[in-house]
Amino acid sequence: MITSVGVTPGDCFDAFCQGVTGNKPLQAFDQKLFNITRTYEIADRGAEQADVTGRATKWLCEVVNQAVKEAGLVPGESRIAALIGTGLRELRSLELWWANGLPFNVSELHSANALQRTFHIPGPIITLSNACAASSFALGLADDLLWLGEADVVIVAGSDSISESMFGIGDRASMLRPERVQPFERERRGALLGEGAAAVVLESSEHASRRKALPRALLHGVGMSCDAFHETAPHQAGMVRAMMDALSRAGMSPDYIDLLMAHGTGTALNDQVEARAIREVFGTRVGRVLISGLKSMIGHTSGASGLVATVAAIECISQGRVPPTIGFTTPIDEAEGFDIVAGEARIGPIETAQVNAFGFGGVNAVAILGRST
Amino acid sequence: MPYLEGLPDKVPRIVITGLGIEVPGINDLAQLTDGSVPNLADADFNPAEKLGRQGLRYKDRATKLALCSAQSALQDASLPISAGEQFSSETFGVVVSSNLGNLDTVCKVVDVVHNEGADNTSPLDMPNLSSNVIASSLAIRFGCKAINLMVCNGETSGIDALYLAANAIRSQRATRILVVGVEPSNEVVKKIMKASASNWSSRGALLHIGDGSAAVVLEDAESAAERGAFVYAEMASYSYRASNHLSQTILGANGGSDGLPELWLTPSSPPGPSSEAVSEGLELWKDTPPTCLDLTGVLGETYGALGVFQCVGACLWLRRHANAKAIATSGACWGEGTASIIIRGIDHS
Repeated sequence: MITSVGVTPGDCFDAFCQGVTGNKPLQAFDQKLFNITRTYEIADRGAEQADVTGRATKWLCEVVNQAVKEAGLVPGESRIAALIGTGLRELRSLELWWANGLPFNVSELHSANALQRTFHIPGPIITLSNACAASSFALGLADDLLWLGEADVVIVAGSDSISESMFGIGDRASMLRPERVQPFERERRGALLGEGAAAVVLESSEHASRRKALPRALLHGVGMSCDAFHETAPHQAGMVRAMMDALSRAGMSPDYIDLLMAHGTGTALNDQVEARAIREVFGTRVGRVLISGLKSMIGHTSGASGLVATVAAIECISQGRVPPTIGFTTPIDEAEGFDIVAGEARIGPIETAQVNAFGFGGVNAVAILGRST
Repeated sequence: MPYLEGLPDKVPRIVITGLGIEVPGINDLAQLTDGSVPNLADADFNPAEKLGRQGLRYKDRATKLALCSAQSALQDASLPISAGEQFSSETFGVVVSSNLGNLDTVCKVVDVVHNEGADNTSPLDMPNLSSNVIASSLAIRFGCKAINLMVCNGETSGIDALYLAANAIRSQRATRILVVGVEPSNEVVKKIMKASASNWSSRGALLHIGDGSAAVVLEDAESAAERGAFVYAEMASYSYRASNHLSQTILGANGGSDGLPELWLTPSSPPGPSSEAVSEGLELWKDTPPTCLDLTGVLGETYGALGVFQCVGACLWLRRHANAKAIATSGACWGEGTASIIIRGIDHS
């Protein structure tokens, strides 16, 4: 995992638990053109700050390397496939080609070739662009590939850099000029984009034990739905269907969920609708689920956000601590009675975690993870 | 709450029950495979004629092409085209393949930001900036509430989309999926494709960039039979290879022992580098070459949409060749990577 607060999963998770923010002044673009002046960028452009192409692809290759190393995966040993989820693809590179004349090839819009050069993957490498839920959709499809016997191992990755067009439109649409992301907070002012990437190696428990690999966590199931309601606005019914599908695939009732990594973008609409959907699914037990909003520290990392939260959830389960939602003091009415982790990290055992990811176009993917036995 | 049943003991068969295309200049599906080469230059595209005016105003060209082809495929499959009347909406999914659909909006918005500042951008462009706007627009228009995927995987996207859609039905994420491939032609698309083609061909300027969309309806065979749907063909196995050796992906999809397909839908041909790859692939058939169908000759370069056009072409051919087998192959031209999928004919007798 790479985010604005760290370059390894361990670094990032420690920073999350310490409530470190990646919020910083806008560096990528000319500040004079925008009203919003803060983002959660990854500061890797070098001293002169000139923007370069291919940053999302570079992080993608780095996080896949991290995951493959940790898993002890050897090329050639297994039928390996890769699924990549990204909201903004390499559209930032396209912009730099179009506006600044930097070299760019259409095949670089997706990162398959670069990933192939980093780590030889004999099976399919498929890129999905399912908006802000992209990498969670990739995780679900990877689960299906294993269940159908189409692959032995699936590398799942998500990566997103900030594009100037999306930042510009977001600036135009955010009347309240947010300076930070505050999920479920009454005084929240909107979403800010962030940059990040995460990867996991998924395989059946039989395959893992055959190659003597130590599982980090169990994927119980991934639910999916589409609102079929609005191009950009969220919809409670669609979110609820995705959560119920996930629970159904996991064979669980909501009572099993100890931790919920919320989508929590800090926009007026998402947080209201997500809070109502959570209440509908969890009912009277909603106050017994810990809820954490990572975007308070790393911004909205678009299509990568679902897998970033998934890797964080795996750390929560293995370390027994849950990162706080920074900048949270007073809940919105819809989240009244929720146990939103705030102030500092919460210590305690987590057996099962749910990760929500919802994207533009009403695409919803919800993952449920647990301790490996 | 519609809980899905436990995963089945037997993986369902996947069949194709509807076909549709929207290519300005082509009026009839049969023109795709009848050997005619229609003149597509300067052809008009009037989506309102098919879809009505409502809701089209701010849609980009790719979305409008996709909506038109999808509507044709739904009608061909005898399914409703109104969201409110859609048949088992919550188990009806959408999988779209497109790479170039929103590039024009991205470049337009970045120009406005640079020239006039972010205040002068239009929030109406926001949906079209999101690469999955095509898939979500289809879901909204036709009432498809199950899995919704946007595949942006370069030139193999169309074949990949068919594979992921079939897998989604096999994994009980849907009983029925609308699969749509679309790539639009516009100034930004022409510029990036020609710049990219010049890497491998000085003849990049000769490229005819395709402009169109193809759609198919995939269904769980049992559900299709229950509603008495006509079945064009059955989806079979898929293969992807990181290399440009087409023989590997053909053998990967076909399996070693089974007879080779009678129809091969080849990747795009000259001026691209894939013509050598096609020759290499043909050697597999030795003295009994298959019927070859290169849709690029009719459509131009359709990049990520090609695989779905190929599926439509295969179904049309298989209607006249019951019990035959087709293979569609995309790739080996724009980037490293090739994909094939087998489509089997159905004996209706």
